[in-house]
Amino acid sequence: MNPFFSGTRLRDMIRAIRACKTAAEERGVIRKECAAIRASISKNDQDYMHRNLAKLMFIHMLGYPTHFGQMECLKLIASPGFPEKRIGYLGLMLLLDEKQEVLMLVTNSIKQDLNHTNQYIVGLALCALGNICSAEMARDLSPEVERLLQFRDPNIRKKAALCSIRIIKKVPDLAENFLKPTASLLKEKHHGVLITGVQLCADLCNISTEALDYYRKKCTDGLVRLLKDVANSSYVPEYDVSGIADPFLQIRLLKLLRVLGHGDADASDFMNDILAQVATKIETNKNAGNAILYECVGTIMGIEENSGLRVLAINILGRFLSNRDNNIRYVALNMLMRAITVDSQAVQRHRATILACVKDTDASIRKRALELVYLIANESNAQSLTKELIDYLEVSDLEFREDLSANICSMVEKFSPNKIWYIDQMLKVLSEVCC
Amino acid sequence: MLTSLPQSLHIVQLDFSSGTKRVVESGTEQVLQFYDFTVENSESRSFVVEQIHFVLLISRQGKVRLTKWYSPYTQKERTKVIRELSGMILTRGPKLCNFVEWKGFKVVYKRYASLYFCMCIDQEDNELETLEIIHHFVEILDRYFGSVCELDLIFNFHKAYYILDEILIAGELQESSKKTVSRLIAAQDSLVEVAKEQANSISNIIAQATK
Repeated sequence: MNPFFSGTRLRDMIRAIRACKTAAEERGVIRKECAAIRASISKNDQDYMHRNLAKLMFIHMLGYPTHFGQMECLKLIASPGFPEKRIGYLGLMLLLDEKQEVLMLVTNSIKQDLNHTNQYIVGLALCALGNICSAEMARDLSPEVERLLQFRDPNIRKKAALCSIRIIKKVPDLAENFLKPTASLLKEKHHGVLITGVQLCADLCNISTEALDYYRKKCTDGLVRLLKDVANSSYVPEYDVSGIADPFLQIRLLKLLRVLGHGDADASDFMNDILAQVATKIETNKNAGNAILYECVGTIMGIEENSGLRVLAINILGRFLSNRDNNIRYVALNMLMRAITVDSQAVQRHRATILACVKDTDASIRKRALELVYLIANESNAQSLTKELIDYLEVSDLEFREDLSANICSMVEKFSPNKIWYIDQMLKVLSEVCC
Repeated sequence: MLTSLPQSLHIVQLDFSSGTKRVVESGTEQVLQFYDFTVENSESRSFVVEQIHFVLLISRQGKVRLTKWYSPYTQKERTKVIRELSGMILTRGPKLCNFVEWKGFKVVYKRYASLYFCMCIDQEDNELETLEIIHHFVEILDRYFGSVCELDLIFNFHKAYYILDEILIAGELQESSKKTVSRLIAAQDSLVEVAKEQANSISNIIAQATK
């Protein structure tokens, strides 16, 4: 680096920007910086490319245009050293989005880096590809990523797995190439690989029925055993979250089991035991435990019917609904919306609590409860529900009235027994909203 | 006309091929959504596999400290999203739930000191787990910076991005071990240090000067 350089350092620029008292002053500082960076770029000043790009990223975050720096990212990525590539890829992900043509120019550099001998450079390239790749890039680079699913270091395998998710979402035709390599990821020990492998497996099942059949046959029992092992494992500090072993892995396993069990009675039967165990044994005084329990209830609702488990799940939701923690009440309402297709009677039992939630002080809970009220409305209860809601309309917050009145109108329209009642209710709503 | 009033509000398109729901804007800013669950009977019900669409870090004053987009948004859309969400989230009271619904998505947020960490997820995704992911990220930042504060994230914003890139890719979690993330970041930092030392070594400076 040139010791006689006179430009500002990144740190000094940030300080100068923070010292600005007005927006105009800030614009001035940034205009000056951008001019200096442009000048440096046009001189093709190799030594300061790194610093220029870092500054541009900061300027970009403040919301100023920085498109003139995009080509700098490509130059840095194409340079041989790790530090240049690291900042270059970061800039690429930050300054560009997948809609820009510049992105096509980087495909070749990424391809080279995916084959690099330094595994950290391979990691950088995988990360960038996973975050911003377009359909064309996915097609071009898919073979490289498939190969990296078997790389010697697990930290590259896990990145390649997530990259594969992006690729198959962009180009679903490529899904079949990933079937077998993904199955072998599910047998690993490394939790990072397991988490990403299970996720990839779920995405594959979502995209192709062929994949779904394949994993249902080959992997269901292995996954059930894995969940059992994790749920019963003794304390491992590395994966422990408030006393629970790797909740992230447990949640992903539950999600995948839901996909595999749905529409298949045998597979569903196979997972009943472990679901019952998770639903009854998990510690729920911390968020991590509740997150798992919530996912488990979703899986019980999602797989084929087992009445004992369903009752257990509905009871858990009832417990959630009366919890003092707003987050728990919110997710309970959310899950009841899904449960309504499964067991609408059970949801009806909570009608009073749900109506109380419509009047909550928390806007998110109100909104969720309101949607649920609409779903539990039927011929027999619509009139009383409508009355409750119209009464509440009078005292509700101004910003909530729009949602509330729209909801009442939908309900009145759907369930009106006669025209007089319909007109009466509509007039009531109008008079409440208009005054 | 009275009858057209509620109908105009049912404007959710369920796109089963991609498993996404789109809220179509119709003049009004906020469009109510009522998911008609009868559409999703057990045969055709598609499983939406969820992802995180973006991560935002906003200060209490509404300044952006970090943004990461895993779904395509143009620069213009990004600015709009940030403006709308900071308006919604910064005004919420302290004891309310950590979720806001926004355009058919959910934004899970949590405040740590002066910073709001926000992640946008799909309707069906697990909100409680997303809170746990946010906390995972914060704990790793804390470990790296040694009791992290907003100033660390301002002056070392690129480091925060490097850490996030070791936790999430393509909007999915990649590592549940804080130790592994810290180890990978440290290994890459030392690669940078080694390269810097080489570049600054006296022989290198002499070589440059005599070039």
